[in-house]
Amino acid sequence: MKVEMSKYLSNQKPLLAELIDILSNDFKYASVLAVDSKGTSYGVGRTGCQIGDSMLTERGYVVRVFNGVNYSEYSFNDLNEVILPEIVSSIKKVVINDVKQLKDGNVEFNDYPVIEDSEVEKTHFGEVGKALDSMTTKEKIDYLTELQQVGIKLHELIIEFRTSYEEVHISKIFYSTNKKLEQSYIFTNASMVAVVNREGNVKYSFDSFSGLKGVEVLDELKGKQQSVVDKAVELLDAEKVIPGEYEIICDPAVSGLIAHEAFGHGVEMDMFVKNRAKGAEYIDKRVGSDKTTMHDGALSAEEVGTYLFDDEGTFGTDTKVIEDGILRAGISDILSALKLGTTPTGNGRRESFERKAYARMTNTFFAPGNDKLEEMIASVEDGYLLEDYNSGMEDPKNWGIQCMIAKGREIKNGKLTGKLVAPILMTGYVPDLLNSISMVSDGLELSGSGFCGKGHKEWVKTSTGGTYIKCRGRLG
Amino acid sequence: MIENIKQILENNENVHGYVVRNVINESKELFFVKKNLDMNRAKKVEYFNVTVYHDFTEGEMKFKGDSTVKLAPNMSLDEMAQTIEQAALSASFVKNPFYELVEKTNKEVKKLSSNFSEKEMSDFLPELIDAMYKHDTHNEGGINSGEIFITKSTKRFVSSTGIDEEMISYAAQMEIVTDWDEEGKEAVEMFTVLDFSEFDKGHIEEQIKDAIENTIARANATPIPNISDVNVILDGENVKEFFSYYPSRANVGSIFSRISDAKIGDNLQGEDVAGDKVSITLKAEITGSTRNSYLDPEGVVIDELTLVDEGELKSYYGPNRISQYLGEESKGNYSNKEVKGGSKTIDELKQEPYLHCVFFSDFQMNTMTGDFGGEIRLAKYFDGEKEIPVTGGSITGNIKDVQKDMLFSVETETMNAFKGPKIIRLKNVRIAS
Repeated sequence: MKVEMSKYLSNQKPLLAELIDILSNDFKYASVLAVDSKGTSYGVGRTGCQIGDSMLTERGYVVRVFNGVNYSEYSFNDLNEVILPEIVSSIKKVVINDVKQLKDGNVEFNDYPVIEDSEVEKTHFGEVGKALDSMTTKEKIDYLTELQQVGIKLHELIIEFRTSYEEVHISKIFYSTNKKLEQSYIFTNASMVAVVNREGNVKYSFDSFSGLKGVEVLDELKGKQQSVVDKAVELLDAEKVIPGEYEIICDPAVSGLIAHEAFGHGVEMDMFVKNRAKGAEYIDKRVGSDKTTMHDGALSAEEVGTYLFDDEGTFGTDTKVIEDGILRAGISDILSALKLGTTPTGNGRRESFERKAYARMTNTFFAPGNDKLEEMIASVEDGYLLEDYNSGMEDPKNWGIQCMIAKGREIKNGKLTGKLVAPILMTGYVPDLLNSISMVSDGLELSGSGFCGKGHKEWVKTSTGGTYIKCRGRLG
Repeated sequence: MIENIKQILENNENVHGYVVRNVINESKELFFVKKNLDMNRAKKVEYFNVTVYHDFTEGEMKFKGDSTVKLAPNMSLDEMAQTIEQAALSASFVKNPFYELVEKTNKEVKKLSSNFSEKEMSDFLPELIDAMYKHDTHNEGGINSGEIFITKSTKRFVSSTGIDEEMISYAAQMEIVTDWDEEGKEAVEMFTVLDFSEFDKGHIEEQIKDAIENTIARANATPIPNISDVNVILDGENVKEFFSYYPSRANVGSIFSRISDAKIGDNLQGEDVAGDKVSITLKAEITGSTRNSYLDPEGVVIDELTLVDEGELKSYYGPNRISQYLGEESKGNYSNKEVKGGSKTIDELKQEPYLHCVFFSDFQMNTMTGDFGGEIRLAKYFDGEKEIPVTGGSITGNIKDVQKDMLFSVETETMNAFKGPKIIRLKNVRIAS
């Protein structure tokens, strides 16, 4: 089923063209990104039920204008014929008055060239298996309720079992003097969480599914309750890991987290501009073993980070960040590319129309290899199979890494012993970790149920994942 | 506009109650690379977050469902009416046992004050820029990049139960990356976020000076030696994160979901506490906090609530619906907390060997399990004779293993949404070097 463009945005097109015409009279570059995204979240648990707008719901505009030295932006969420002059006046106040006030205060400006847009008109309308309205609100909540009621009875220690589903229909229009771009697509995600409590010892586990899908994502939850519950229950008997360096096998979720935190953030090229990324010095140099190949890009995979154009009107691409262990390229927004003299990769993304665009990841993963998981486990003398994660944090300047891993299964002499350790904090120096990758499994699994922040804010939807990788890591 | 929305809500027979939270956010934003401005931005947006409630019965069970949608001036009245109708329909499928909405009371909703109201937001920008660069005087490093945001929020809260309150608040944020690149040493950086609602130039300058000094210390740091069985000291934002565990234990949401089994009168730290006992007060207002409000998101008028006194749980708090399910009075949701200082001075807490963790990549407390930890980017290790800066490695632990022996400094400090001990000292924390 083809996704339809927002009717609201379609009706606004003449006004957007008029706004760009007006601004182009005074400024060498002007663009507007108009967004109309509608999402709904559903949740069912023992403690309550929710239906409401997704946090990704937004409708508004951001205008970018060349102010003579660099760029100024104004975000707003109302635009019609009547208030158009007022909006133009507000934009000019930011571009002219605010800039003058800052210059008068002796603030120095970084200079940027004028963005040269080539003339292009293009549209993209995604496709999903089942339309969002092919199930009613009641049918969706009943479905989640049925799964939840089965899940919560699966073990006596369960104190909460929660099912949730989120659907988001994104529509964006980007107009500049030469560009007219439109895109509309849908992504959904669904998840289940089990919480268990044994004498005050609380543990939880979850499973999630996502993609450029319609309500068919709900089918993926079916029959998965038992494994979610089992994973939570087994954590109750987990031991603490003895701090040290081990041979580790990372499942696709953990290897995706490593790819994301280790080199994803490290090659965001706005960090190159600020001299915040060590990666800038390592282009065409070895940063990992021969087995290490990593991609990022809106076109690298079909997941929640996939789109035709980014929030600055640049077409998405597939960037091979690391090829056979050699760092090849970074990912960039348009202004960083202008500053660095590189080609923008279509990674300029905003948390919402209210926020600035930064160089951001999209779909990030280690490319598959040829090894089998069984062979990888058999090759480990003393180590752990790491599964699932809670969070991660980047350190692009110093290539440190922090991954909060949900659990590790002990491997001794090539066999899983049945012993579980949790939680685990994996830390280390990124090149050490990537250079130690000795085996990479076949297959590719991506997950897009989470968000990625830059520092501690600017949350955007990304997918991560990859394959099973074997390497060495410091666990604590 | 809000009168139109009220009219739509009151004319819809499927809407049996509502809350409208109207907010107009206006901001000025500056983005710096080194000492130069890289971009300026501004914003003006308006929203109406509308929660509709729908009452219904099934058999003998009475339910109250709710659904929240976001309306904006860019919507026609027809579109708003359709969105509200859809929300009411959604609410009719939300089978939450019946409860009463928060009623208007005679309690005064105190107004917030901020010195940001004394002049235009843009007039504060030069002073914030000055404060950011005041101590950026070194050749080897200093401010790598910085972002400055000032936001004015004009809010109105209207409910079907008669509550109608207006308030204005301010929030400023400075996100600062400091770096240091000295010959013969690895270049390093650190990341600092300051959030505040009261402009205090001197305090901002001091915090940024500390950030620069900590970055220099990181550049001079050596890898953490193989140590164990030393006290771990936390400070600043990490103390705030650490103490997020206890309010979570007292939240009615945790009680109702059985994640917490804490009962009023329980000693949250258990028996035979050898260290300091925790005392926590929830506050509607802490000077400079960007989370100040005397009205909670559901309309409960809040002020101050003693949550934990000398380790003993005194009260629950949290959402109105869950409070009623537990038969508790709705005491509201609070965003600010104050933790009482402890029994020892900072000097006394630092007599024995310690690892004072100053800066993590991301220190986290899991309030559900009590697990905490983080990768260390800068710590100060005292071996009993001298203190040296160290880096790398991590700490992990569980609050249940440390809460009987922890000690808090007498000295306290205030940061965004928190006032508490300047440092806390923990035993039984695993250190991975």
